[in-house]
Amino acid sequence: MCPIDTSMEPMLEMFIFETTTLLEQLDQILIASEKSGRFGPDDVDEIFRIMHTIKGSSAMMGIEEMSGLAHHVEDMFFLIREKPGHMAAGSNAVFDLIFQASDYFKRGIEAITAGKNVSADHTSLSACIAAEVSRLKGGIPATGAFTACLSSSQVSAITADSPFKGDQSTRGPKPYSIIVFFEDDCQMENIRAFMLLSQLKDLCESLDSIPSHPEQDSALSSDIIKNGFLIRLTTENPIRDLLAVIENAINIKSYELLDEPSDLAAEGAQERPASSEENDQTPKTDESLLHRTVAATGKSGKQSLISVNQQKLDQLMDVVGEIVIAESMVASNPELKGLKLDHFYKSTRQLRKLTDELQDIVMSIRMVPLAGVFQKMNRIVRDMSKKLNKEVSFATFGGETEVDKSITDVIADPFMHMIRNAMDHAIESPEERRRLLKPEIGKITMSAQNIGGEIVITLSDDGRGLNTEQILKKARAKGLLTKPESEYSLKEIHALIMLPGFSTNDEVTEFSGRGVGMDVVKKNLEKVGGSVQVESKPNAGTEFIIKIPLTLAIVDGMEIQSGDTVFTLPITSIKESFKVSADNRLIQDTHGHEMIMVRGECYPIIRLHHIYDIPGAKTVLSEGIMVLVENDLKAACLFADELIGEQQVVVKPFPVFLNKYDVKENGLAGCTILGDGSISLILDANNLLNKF
Amino acid sequence: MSDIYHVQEPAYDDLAGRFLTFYINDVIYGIGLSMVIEIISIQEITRIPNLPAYTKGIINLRGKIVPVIDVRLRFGLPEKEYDDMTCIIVVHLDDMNIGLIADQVYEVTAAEDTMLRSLPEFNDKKSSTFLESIGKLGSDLILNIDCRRLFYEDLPSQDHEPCR
Repeated sequence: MCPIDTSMEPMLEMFIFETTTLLEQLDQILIASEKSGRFGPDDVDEIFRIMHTIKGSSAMMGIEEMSGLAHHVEDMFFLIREKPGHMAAGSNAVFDLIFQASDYFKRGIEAITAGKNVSADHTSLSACIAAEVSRLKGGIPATGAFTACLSSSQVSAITADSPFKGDQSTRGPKPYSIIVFFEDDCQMENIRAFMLLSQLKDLCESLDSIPSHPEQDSALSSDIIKNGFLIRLTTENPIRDLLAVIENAINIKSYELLDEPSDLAAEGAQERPASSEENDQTPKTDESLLHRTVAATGKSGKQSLISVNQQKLDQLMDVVGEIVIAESMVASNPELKGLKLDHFYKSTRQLRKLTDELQDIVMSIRMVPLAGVFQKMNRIVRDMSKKLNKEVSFATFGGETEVDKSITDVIADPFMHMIRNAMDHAIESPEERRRLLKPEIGKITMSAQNIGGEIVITLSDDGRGLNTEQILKKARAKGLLTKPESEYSLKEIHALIMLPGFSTNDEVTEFSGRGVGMDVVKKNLEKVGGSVQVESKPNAGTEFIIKIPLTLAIVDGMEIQSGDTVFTLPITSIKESFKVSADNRLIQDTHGHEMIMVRGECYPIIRLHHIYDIPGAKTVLSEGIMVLVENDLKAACLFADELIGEQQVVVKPFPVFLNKYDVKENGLAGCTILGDGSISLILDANNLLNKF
Repeated sequence: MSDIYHVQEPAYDDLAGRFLTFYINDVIYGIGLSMVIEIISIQEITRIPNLPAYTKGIINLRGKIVPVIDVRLRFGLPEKEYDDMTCIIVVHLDDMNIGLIADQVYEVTAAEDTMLRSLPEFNDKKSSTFLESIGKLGSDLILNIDCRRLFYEDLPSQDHEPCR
C-alpha cells in the first residue's frame, strides 16, 4: 500500500524536498552546537521551528510516525527553551537522541521516496525522549509514563500523555470550541466545512458543529460566511495538533479558539513544565506558542529562493548550448565572407557578449557550494569517532567553493568512503597515538579550492600513512603487479590501492573493508572527469588530492586537425604543443614504437592519423604538430596536422546507437558541434594515454 | 524534440500500412512510414573511427547528433559515390533517431495486407535477414526492411575494421 494519500501526491515532492532541507539544517546546527557543548537560544528556536514544521507537514501528509516523533522532540526543546539551565547536565544524551531522531526522519524520507511505508517503529526512541523530558523537568524519570510509552502502540496516546504529565496517569478529554471563517469567495463553504470536520474527526473524542450537517444543504453556505463555522469538540490530544490541522486546511481565512477560561488555563499549565517555582509567570497558552512559531517561520523562511527541477535546468543548459553554437554559425557564416558589414559585425559582437553572459548565468545557476557535501562528512566523522572510540577533529576549508550540481551528486559517495577509510584505518587508536607521541586527537582535514578550470579537493589525515610494503605484498598476492617490485616508484605503489579488487584491511568492519575500496572511488570520480592522487608519509599521514572539473557540459577545447577530421582536445589535459625540431631526438624501439626526447624526457608518440586510420593526414613528424598531453601518471605526444584554435564547446554524448561499438574505449569522450555546423570529436586524453 | 516524435504507432492510423519506398542498387525497398521522421539530402558525415564500414558516422541534424548507416554497405553491396539523388532517411526506433543512406527515394505507397507476402524460409538464413515481407504493387515488387534487424543484428561479416 502506498503510504501517501493519493490526493497528497502532488505535494509529495515538495514535502520530501522541504523535509530533507530541514534535516540538513538540523544536522548542521546539531554538529555546531555539539562542538560548543550547548545550544544557543537561536539554535533552540531554530530546532524548535524545524521540528514544528516537520510535525505539521508530515501530519498533513498523513505520516503519523514522523509527526509523532517530531512532536516529542518538539516537546523536549520546549523544555530546553524554557529552562536552558537544566540542559547542561545531560546534554550528551540530548544530542544523541536528536541525532537518532534525525536519522529516523531521514530513513522515513528515504522510505517515502522509494514509495514504501515508514516502517521503523519509533516508540522506543520516543520513550527515551519522553524519559529525557521528564528528567529535564528536574524530576526522577517517571516510570509510569515510561512503561506506558513502551507498552502503548498508540502514537497519539504517547503524545498526549507522557511528555506533559509526568506521574499523572489519566486525563479526561477536554472540550474546546473553535470558530472558523473561510476565505471570501472561496465557494462551497458548506462542503469545505464538512471536509474540515472529517479531517478533525479522527483526532477528537466527540465532534459537533453549528450548523450541524453542513454538507446537506448548500444554503448553509451563506450562514457559514456570515457567522463563521463553529466547531465544538472534546479531545485528549493537545489542542495544538487540532489547530495545526485547521491551519493547514485550504481556504481558511481565520480561526479562533473561543475563550473557555478554565480549560484553557489548565491546558496552558499542562503545556508548561509542571514545576512550582514558575507558577507566578503568566501562563502561556498554546496560541501564543503557535504565534511565536509562526513568527519564527516567517523570519527565516523569507529567503528568496525557489527550487527548480534539475531536468529543467538541464534543458535550459542544452538550449543555451544550442544558442552558443547558432550564434557562431551566424557570425562566421561563410556566405558573409568578403562583404563589408560594419553594422552587422557590431551587432554580432553585442550578441556574442550577451550569449556569453547568458551562458555564465546558466552555469552559475547549476553551481552549488560544496559545503553541503562537507556537512555530510562532518556527520560521518562524528558518528564513527563515537563508535570507534577515536577522537578526531574534522576541519573543512573552502566549503563555499561551487561545483556543478551533477558533480556534487556523484562525489558525495566517494568522499564518504574515503573519510571512512581515514577514520577506520588511518587514524590510530588514542593509546597508539600516545605511544607515537602524536596528539591524542586525530585530525582530518578537507579543503576545496578552485584552481584554473578545476576544483582541487584535498583530504588529509595525520594517521599512520600508507604501508608500502604491505601494499606491495597484497598486490603481489592478488596478482596486480605488472612489473618487478623493485621497479615500482613510491607514486606507483600508492596508486596500486586504487586498482580494482584491492583492499588492504583483511577484516571487514561495519565501515570499510569490503574490498570495494578506492577503485570505486576512482571510478566514480572519473565518471565526472575527475582524478585522484595519493601522497603519503609513514606515520605522518596520507593526503588524497582530488581534481574535478567545474562543469561537465561545456569545456574549453583546442581544435586539432588530422586529415579532414577535426578533434577537440580539452585544454586542461594539454601541457604544451610544439613543432618537431632538430633538438628533439626521435627514437624507435624494437617494436616500432616511436618516442621523442623533449628536454631530456622521453615521451611516446601517438599518431592520431594512425590510431584512427585517417586518410590524407600528414605523416612526416616534422610537418605536423606535437601536442603533449598528460594525466596523473603518464604523458605522451599526440601527433596531428595542425592546431586550429581554441574554442568553448558544448559536450554532447554519442548517440545511444553507437554504444555497442565501445566508441568511448577508443579515446573519444563525445562529440560537439562547431560554429560552422560541422561535428568535432572530443578526445579523452586519459583514455588515450591508457589505451595507446 | 524527441518528445514530439515519441508517439506510439496506434496514433498513426493513417500511416499504418503505408510504406516509404526507395531505391538501392535499382531494387525497390520499403520501410514503414510511421517510423520515418524526415528525408534530407545527403550532407557532410563525420566519420567515427573504428566502426564497421556501414556505420558511416554522425551528422548534425539541427543540433542533434544522428548516426547514419549506409544501407548499401549494410547489404554487402559495393559502395557508390553519393550524388544529388542520394538521401538520408531519418527513422525513429526505440527512442533513437538513425539515418539511412539510400540511393534515391521513390514514393509513398499504401500496401494492403493482402498484397504483402511473407518471405519463404531459406536454409541459409542470411539471404532474408533484413527483410520483413514482400509487397506487390502493380508491376513493382517492394522488399520491406525490418529496421530493428537492420540496426541490431550483428552479422558475422568481414567489414568490421579491426579495433586496435
